[in-house]
Amino acid sequence: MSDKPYLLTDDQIISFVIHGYHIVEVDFPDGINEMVYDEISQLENNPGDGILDAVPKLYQVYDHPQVRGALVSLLGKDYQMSGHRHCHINPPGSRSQSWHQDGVNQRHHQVRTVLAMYYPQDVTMDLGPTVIMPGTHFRNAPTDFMATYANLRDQVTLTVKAGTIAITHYDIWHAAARNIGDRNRYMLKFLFNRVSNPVEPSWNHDPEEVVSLTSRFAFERACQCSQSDHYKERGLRHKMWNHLLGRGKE
Amino acid sequence: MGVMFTKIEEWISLAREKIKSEGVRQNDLDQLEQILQVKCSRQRLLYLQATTPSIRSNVIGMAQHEPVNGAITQIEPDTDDWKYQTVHDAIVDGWQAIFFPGQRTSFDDQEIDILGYEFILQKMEIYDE
Repeated sequence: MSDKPYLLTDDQIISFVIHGYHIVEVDFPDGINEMVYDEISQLENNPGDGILDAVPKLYQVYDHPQVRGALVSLLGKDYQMSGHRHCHINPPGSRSQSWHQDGVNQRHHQVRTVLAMYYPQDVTMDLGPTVIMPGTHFRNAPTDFMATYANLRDQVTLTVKAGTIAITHYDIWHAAARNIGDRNRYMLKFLFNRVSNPVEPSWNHDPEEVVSLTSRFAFERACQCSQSDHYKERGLRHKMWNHLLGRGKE
Repeated sequence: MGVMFTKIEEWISLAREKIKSEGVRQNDLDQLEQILQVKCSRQRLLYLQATTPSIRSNVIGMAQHEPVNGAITQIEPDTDDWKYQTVHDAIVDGWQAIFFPGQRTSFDDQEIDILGYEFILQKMEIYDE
């Protein structure tokens, strides 16, 4: 099946560049989300990277055309699923995590790895939603430096419907909030990697339409920050955008 | 948990009422002395991240720490309780700044790193426990 109908638009790619995430509400066949939830609930141990073999229905999730379309748009046609993935279990009574980035900062301004976080149940405000901080994928800040943060003014709480996949830049700041609900909240975090450098846009790109959209890089704020940071952010957005367009290493 | 200033305010309020009737007596003054002699003061801490090192700039991050066992400071996903819009607002409310962000920090004219400039404020409070 062609990915083209499911590829992202210029506007959606620009939003990803500015904010660092894209939400896909997938139309899975009836019952898939419930089956995944039940199968995870029945696991005796968390299999870590083995979650895909333990719950093979996850192949269907990440192979869905809507998901593939978004991943092709951001990482190119030859993107690959990483061997590392994890089922994050947020049980009732948990406390929030601290703000963090996964691993270490990638120290470039390209889209080379994304997190694809799949929620097999509705996530309400009570049920330990993931919280992300828009625009932080450009910030070269180690997790230790985030230890004194709690609530941030422009944090986004991912209260989502079952079947939602939040695709984020690898470096975005995120945390699981406390679960004061009555059941486990599961989040399947899979990583996807770019294999080759872009030579042309891999989404539904319209060179004429996009001209008016790129002014968003100059005027749109992902979060409140100093004016100096915002000026620098503009340059970093253009770097990421130009790389996605296939304009050399920048 | 009690706060010394709150207790004094309550005492003053009661004393005003009493002055209208039978007046303030010896045991009222003993009570006031008792409030003032409580020695169990503790440091409440408030971390505020602001957009610039100015105390007048917008607060964009907040974490309050209560000095009692088991106190939790965590991300509240549904919070819109932004008590202070600026660090100055917090100072007006009685918080004392004990740490100011430096202006002469390392500077990179292309990259960005942490979010905001961090102020740490305290209130010394009296706790009953």
